[in-house]
Amino acid sequence: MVVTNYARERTALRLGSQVDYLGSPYVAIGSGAATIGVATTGLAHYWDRNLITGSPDMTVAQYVTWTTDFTSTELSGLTMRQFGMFVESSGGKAWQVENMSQIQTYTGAEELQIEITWKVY
Amino acid sequence: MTLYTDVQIGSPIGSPFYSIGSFFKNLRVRTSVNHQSNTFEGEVYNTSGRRSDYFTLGQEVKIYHDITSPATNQIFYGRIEAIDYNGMPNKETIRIAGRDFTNYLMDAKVQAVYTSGTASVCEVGSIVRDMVYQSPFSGTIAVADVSGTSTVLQTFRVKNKSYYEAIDQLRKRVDYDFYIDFNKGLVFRPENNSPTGYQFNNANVARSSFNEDLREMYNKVTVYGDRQLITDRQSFTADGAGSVFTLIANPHDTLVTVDSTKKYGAVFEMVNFLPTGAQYLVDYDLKKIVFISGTAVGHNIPASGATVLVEYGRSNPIVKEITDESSIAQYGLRENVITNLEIKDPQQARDVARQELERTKYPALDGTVSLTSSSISGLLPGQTVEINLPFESVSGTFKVFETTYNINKENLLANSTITARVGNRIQNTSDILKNIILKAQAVEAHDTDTSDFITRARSSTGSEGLDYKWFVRTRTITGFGFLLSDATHGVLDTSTLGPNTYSAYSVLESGGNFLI
Repeated sequence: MVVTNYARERTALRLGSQVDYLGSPYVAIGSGAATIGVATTGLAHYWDRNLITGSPDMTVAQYVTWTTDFTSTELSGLTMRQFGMFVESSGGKAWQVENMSQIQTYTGAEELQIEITWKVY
Repeated sequence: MTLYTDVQIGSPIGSPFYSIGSFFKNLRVRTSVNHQSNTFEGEVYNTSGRRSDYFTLGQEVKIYHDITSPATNQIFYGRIEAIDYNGMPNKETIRIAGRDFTNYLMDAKVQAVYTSGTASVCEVGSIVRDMVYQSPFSGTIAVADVSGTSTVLQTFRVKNKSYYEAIDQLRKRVDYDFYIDFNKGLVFRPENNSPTGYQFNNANVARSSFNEDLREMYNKVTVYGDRQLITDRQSFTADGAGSVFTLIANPHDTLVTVDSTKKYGAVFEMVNFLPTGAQYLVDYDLKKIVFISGTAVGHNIPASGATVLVEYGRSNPIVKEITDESSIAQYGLRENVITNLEIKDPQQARDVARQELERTKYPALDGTVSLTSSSISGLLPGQTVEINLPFESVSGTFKVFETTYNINKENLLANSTITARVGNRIQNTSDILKNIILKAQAVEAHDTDTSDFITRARSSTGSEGLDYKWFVRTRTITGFGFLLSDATHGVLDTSTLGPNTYSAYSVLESGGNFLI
């Protein structure tokens, strides 16, 4: 039996629809760093969490892209080391967590944009 | 004091541990960064053939080298790729040899083109991850340690090169090192960011050799990419007397019309007699169209007032040249010309020229140090060490680019198993031969293209999974206007009403597995 591309396309659309705790419309940023594994549930140290900007981009079959923006006011003083994707507006568990290797400290004169793309293959 | 070595062999790998002296007669391990795969070669006692059935091709090998027993510092993880049986009465031995898992990168070829646009951002680290993701060894070689960079390429094209060469090209663009680690993970990280703290001096260096060489120094680099054919058109008004019309470029594939009537051409001075039907000749070197007239060919010179239209292809080379004047003033001009027909973008040619100049504008220093130390368990590729050898006029921080472990009972007891090459690699005969082979392969691959259609027969089973990629971008704000809630720019009476000025977003880092 073969899983068809139609199945993958519909799965991707379902992830982008953010229904029933499927898909992650929130991105959180943090100043801590930790080893990330499959049992990781959140950031080492939270700083802020924002809803994605607009709607997810699902124009390409089997792909979902989320873009989230953070203003200079939200970032001011942050040395960003991690970011993660969440379903809930606060608390909850992460769908994805990433450590940064290019560490940047934000002074209030920068803005941040995080773009995440998932592919159902 | 003595050094210790243990070896595990098997599929899957596990106990027992084989030692030097009773099992191995000698063992040599060579580890390298950016240049070749790590290799091992060992000779095993096989008196009366007692170990003849111990080894099979493909068995995994782990080698440990340490200052304490049991040895836990791993220096090699690979497979047996060659087994030789040598027989002399009562002195039989078996030679086994192989490479580490860099062979995955070396034994498969990639053909791809990456172009930055609205749909994708070709950050160098993301290209490396995507190439591995699309490769036959995806899932075997991990990419978690492929670091992102802040360099975004407009175009990157690779034609039927090994994955190793393609990644080597990319790492040169960003001054990164790469190798396969002991967890079968591809490591792609900034150069010189892994200090050991080891100090090499007269106390622990038994032998040393340092060569400083101008021969691989270049302070003027010219990069030739592929030539692009574009169509040009020139119009002339004939005066009825002249038969020669001079173009502004050497013409390819000419199409000549006189008052919209197509004319037929031939090559100037190609033959001693004019070919039948020819009405004009093309002089490529002098960029001329010459209309011919005579008894055999008739009268073809355009009449006065006639419009002569010449359409032809112009071959535009992609060439970028860059120099370093201070190096030229100090060492004299040394020029390097790089020809790479895969380069079809002037920006890529400029980037390659710039990086090559940065890498070669100063003389190379290649050092070899043989250590005598009971406190150094090993040196990993890309690590840096401090060297102070005043008699060789050498002092400073150097990157170790190759480590050789010559392991036998005598060297272990004398703490003298490790020889390290540091600094910049000066090419030897094998490097020159390798470059010749690679250039020949590049010439053969010239006519292939990433858009070529290839039929494949594959079997598949059903599955579904989730993969990801990400980009983090930043931009700066200058010329601040009023910014609500900002501690500095949100204070009434001190901030200016008006818009902020934003720079464009630039990629800070990227991650994930695929790119496109």
